[in-house]
Amino acid sequence: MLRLLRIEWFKLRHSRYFWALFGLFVLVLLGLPLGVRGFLVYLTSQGESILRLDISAVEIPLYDFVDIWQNQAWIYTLFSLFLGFIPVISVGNEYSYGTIRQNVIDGLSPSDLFWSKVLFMLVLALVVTFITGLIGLVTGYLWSPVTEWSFVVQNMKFLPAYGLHLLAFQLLCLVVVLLIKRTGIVMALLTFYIYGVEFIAQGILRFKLEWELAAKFLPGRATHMLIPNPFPKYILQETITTIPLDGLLLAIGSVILYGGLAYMLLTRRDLN
Amino acid sequence: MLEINQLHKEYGRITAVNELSLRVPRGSVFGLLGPNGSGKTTTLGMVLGVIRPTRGSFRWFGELPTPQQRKRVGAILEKPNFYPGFSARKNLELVAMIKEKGRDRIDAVLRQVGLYERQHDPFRTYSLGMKQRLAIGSALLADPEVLILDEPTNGLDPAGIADIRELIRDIAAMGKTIILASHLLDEVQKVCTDFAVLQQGHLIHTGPVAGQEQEVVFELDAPDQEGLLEVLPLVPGYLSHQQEDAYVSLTVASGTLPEQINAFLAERSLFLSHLSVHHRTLEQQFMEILSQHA
Repeated sequence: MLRLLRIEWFKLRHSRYFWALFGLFVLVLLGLPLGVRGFLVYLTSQGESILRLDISAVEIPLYDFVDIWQNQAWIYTLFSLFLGFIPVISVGNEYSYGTIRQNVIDGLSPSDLFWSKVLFMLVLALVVTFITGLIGLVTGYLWSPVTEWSFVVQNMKFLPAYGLHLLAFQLLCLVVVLLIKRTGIVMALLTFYIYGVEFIAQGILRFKLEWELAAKFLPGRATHMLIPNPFPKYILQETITTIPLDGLLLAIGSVILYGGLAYMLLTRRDLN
Repeated sequence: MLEINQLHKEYGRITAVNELSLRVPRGSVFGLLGPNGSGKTTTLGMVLGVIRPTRGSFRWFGELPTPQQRKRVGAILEKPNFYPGFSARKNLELVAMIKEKGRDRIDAVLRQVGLYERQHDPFRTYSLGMKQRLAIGSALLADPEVLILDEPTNGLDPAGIADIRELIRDIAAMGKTIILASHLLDEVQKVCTDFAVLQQGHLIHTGPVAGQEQEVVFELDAPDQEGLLEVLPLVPGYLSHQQEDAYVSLTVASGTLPEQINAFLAERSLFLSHLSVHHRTLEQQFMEILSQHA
């Protein structure tokens, strides 16, 4: 297991695109809370009060402990594609270079290849979750009026939930690249699907057809249903602040389904 | 070393390899011959674990196949496959990680294939000949018992071809078993001890290269051609003869020497104006074998 992980790490740590994508993703993770905070501070300095309520912009409790974990996790799920591109490029390139086949000729089994890719995704998900946790703690301690430990750790459950989403989402990307095998096409297709098709499909299914059940099974959405959108609460609507069971099951189901599919695609086909 | 039993591969309605059975003896340099599309690469792909046979089986080292065995085999299939952004050295380091062997041989292998000076340059900057040499070096890295080379001189210029052939001969001299797939016959003839011919997925011939030479062909001519044709069937070792454009071609059992023929004819007052030994090349054998199965 460790050997397979080392092989994948060797391939990626010597690849420019990996550092570029990973760096970009971490920049987004850092930039979002800082940028939003900066914007709020700017609004306050302009003397604006938000929504004609009697509070200044910086008082919007975005970074308050308890709330911060869900806010952060939900916002970050919108940017998971950056991370998903890592397996897409890695696997797509291995197909176009023919190295995936050479690896097998040299003595890896196709299931070794699967595990080296998937274990690395797991590590990436863990690392990103850890970074997210650090960012949450730092921004929370800076800007949350409440810093008692019991409040800090309450709702920290959204961190592992985010990690699970990242794993499921990367596996979804892996399945697509195993099916299509062309890095560029897969990247374009995934971008178009995640930020276009699925948004529209979701809108139609949920609001026009009122077929909530079907909307839950949209491939991308199924991986992040376990982190409900917390923001409606800021316009005083009721929101879910727990991990919904169906969302959790869908994320776990996604891991199993996409993982299984990827395993079959790698081991049951010829490597041409 | 390698034993293939009724290996069969179908792609939809196309049969790429048809009930192929083959043995590659230990220590041999085995040529796998056949026109493009005859199933050579598919066969090698199956024994290397990247193509799943439709049915049939094969054994490496007398055992059923496992990925572990492939670490004892060095192989390139079709073209050199490396990470283009990595240097030769990095690529070999990765191969050594996969094979769990050979890290200490990287320097030696780079020297052997003449890439030591360029080892830190990215693979994508290499010429085709350098890429092929790196592929052979990579196949040699873990000191394998068997080496599989698929069209190793494809696309190379004459100097590159000569380099690769010399490399193959050196490796053969080290006593390794080599399987060499090629559509270039003189390539196989120059280095192989055994060969097999594939055509449209069928095995149509297998045997030793030297053992094919059961007969020798002479080209000869005399001013008195009529007299010559009359006595030719009496020549020791006579098998057949044929009137060609400018001379007569005579096929006799191998071991018959030109001086024997010359002396025999001179005794009968037939004096030759032309006598030369015409070696049957593998190319001719190959064409004959193919035409027999056409």
